[in-house]
Amino acid sequence: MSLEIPQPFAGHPDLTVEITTGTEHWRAGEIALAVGGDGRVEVLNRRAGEEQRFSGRLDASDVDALGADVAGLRLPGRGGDTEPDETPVLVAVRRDGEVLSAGEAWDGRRYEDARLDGLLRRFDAIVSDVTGGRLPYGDEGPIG
Amino acid sequence: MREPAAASERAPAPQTRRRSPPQPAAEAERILALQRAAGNRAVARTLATLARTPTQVTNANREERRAGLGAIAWTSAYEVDFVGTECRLNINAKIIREAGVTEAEENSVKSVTRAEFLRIWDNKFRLTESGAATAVYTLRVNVTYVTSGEHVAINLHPGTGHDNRRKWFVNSNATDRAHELGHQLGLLDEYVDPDVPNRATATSPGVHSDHSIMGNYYTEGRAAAEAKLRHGQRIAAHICAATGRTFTASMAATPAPAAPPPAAPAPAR
Repeated sequence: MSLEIPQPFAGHPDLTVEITTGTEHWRAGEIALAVGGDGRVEVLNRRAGEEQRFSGRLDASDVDALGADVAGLRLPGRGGDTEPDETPVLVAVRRDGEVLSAGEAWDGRRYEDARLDGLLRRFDAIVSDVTGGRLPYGDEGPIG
Repeated sequence: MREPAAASERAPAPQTRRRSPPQPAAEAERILALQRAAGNRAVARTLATLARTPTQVTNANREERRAGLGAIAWTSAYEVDFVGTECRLNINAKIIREAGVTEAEENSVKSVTRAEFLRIWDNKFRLTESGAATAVYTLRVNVTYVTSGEHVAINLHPGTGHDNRRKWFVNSNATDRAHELGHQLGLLDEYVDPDVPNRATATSPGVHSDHSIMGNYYTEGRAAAEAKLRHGQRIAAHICAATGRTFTASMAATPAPAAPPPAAPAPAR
């Protein structure tokens, strides 16, 4: 099943795209990016029982680009066997908190799926920008 | 600490033997007898080495995830050879450079990874053999970069990303690669993962927070990450199964000195 989101995304301030990667007790922890149709951005990082939050904004063109990345994306789920240390990826589209469309995959899938890779590259770039480069890869150690 | 790539590579690599073919037993015995008579012990030792074939050690590893998710599953593989008082464990690793990775970056990753792998794993365990002849071996480890005959093929990607046993990134830290090579030794992760029943919480049986190289050293401190006795015991069990011999693992009394950190680049002038 493919993810559905009205286009252009920036025309829908009631919608939010959420992309979550990682797991709380390994490497930089779980990183949840939420981008609203109005351009608001929040990053929540959970790591070993602690959490930190970052916020920022995207302009309308970047919001629309993210929406285009998500629209029609097919995520295969996490049913297949994997190597150790594989990273989960969850994507959801919400309207006022209610899930409209959602899917999941292993991060390793991005090397076989150019669309997923494109979405995760955008995720990396937005998270890096909003967190000043501390996430998704640059930070380690206990939070705080 | 960098070394030329050529010094660390060989090809083809061994599932059987990479040096000259083994001497037929009778011929080897005849030569050995001659050398013994001649008193040429060095030649005899060389011939004995040539006649030895490393034992291939493999293990199917599996950790279940919760219902609906695939398992964590992989086959670990390496070779061991017993030389004097050492059990020499070697991983033949083939690095496949992805687009955007330079040869210099590949060589750097190889060099720092080997140094960190040895810092964590080399000379950390003793294997005591029981049975007909009791002997104690120091477990020495190495990773040899090969172009064929590999125990594991690893795709080296540019930039940063999530490393695993078969996928490395140029900008990842070398401790992660020593951790991933730990999986190649047949070791399981030891950090909390809610998707894995055996490691679902901090009190789950598969979770250890004692500065394990297989645990969450990101929070506990990367510099303090180390090999644990339970790792040596699991490695010993796999070696027992492959060799048909019986070994008991213990920690080495005097660990090898830590490798010095890679030299920092000289400041630009």
